Amino acid sequence: MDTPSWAEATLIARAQAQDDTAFDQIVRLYADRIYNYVRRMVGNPQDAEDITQEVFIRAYQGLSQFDGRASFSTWLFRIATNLCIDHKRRQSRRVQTVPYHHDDTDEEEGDWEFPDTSQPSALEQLLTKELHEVVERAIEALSPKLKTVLLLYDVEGLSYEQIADALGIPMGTVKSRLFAAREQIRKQVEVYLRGGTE
Amino acid sequence: MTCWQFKRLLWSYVEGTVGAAEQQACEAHLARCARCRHQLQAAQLTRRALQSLPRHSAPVHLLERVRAEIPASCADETVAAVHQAPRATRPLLLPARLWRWALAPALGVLVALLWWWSQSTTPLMNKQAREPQTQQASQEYADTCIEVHQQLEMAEWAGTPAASYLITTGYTR
Repeated sequence: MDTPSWAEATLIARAQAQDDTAFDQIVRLYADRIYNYVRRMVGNPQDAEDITQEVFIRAYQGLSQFDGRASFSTWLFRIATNLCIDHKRRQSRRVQTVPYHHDDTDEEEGDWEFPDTSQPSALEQLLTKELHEVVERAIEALSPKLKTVLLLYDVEGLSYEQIADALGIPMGTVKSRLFAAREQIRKQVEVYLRGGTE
Repeated sequence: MTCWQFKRLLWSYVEGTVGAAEQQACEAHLARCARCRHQLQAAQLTRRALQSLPRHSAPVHLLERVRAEIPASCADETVAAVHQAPRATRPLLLPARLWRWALAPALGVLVALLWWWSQSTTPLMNKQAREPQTQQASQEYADTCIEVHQQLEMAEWAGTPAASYLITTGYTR
């Protein structure tokens, strides 16, 4: 998914030299990734569009400051994360988390049955869609700190190092946040698998 | 391996990043613990779901919106920043911290000159005439010291000595 670094570097150098077509290419290249990330960070398509637009405007304004130490995509994700967090703060919207009550009496001895997904049937597709909805809701309920790390790692495919660089936090913090985020999602998936209501 | 130990390794196990010995221990634990098996299955499903979430595509008109929102002034600023020539000239004056070091020996030389001047002039005068002269020289010396001290403080604060200090001391680079 990442552009090869030499191509990225060439594009950026051209954009820094005021080649507008190069900047347009940068927007086209990263728009979907940034939008997908921002969309899940803020939840609202209109806000996501506005923030994605702002990400590229900020990138354009800051092109001369980009020194190439981090990859360009990491830099864009950093801008996007900051804007999403600012947006959340402005909204002052409290994220409601769904409490997970583990009940040992629900424990079943048998293992869950998972269908072979190599050739998904209509039912399996429906189950997958349902599972995606569960996961999407669980992601939405995460705190911004956990959500950021989870989306960057599991959805956008950034490495621990890239996330640490983008967020300005130690790699150990990235790992612990990722663990906590995944655990929250997993617990919701467990509830779903047990046929429980959320 | 305990359930707690397995849980710590759960996500590494799912990602396949545990070592061979740990993997064996995990498998042995999973064979006898239904609860951890459930957790593992949920974790595997979670990971698969996260990686296969439908992706949102950016609106088609995003580029046009970005282009329209980049004001001309912003573009000008970027042009200026990109094409700005590197600073061609270094400041001629020394930074404040260097002035402090440069002025210290100058002060020493000045004091020595004043002392030499007061010594060289006094033998030519008789004792009676010398007293007021000595007092005057001492006063001048004290005034000069105060002035130099003030100049030093100013130099430290302002980064460059005042012109009067350069005239007084004759100190040049």
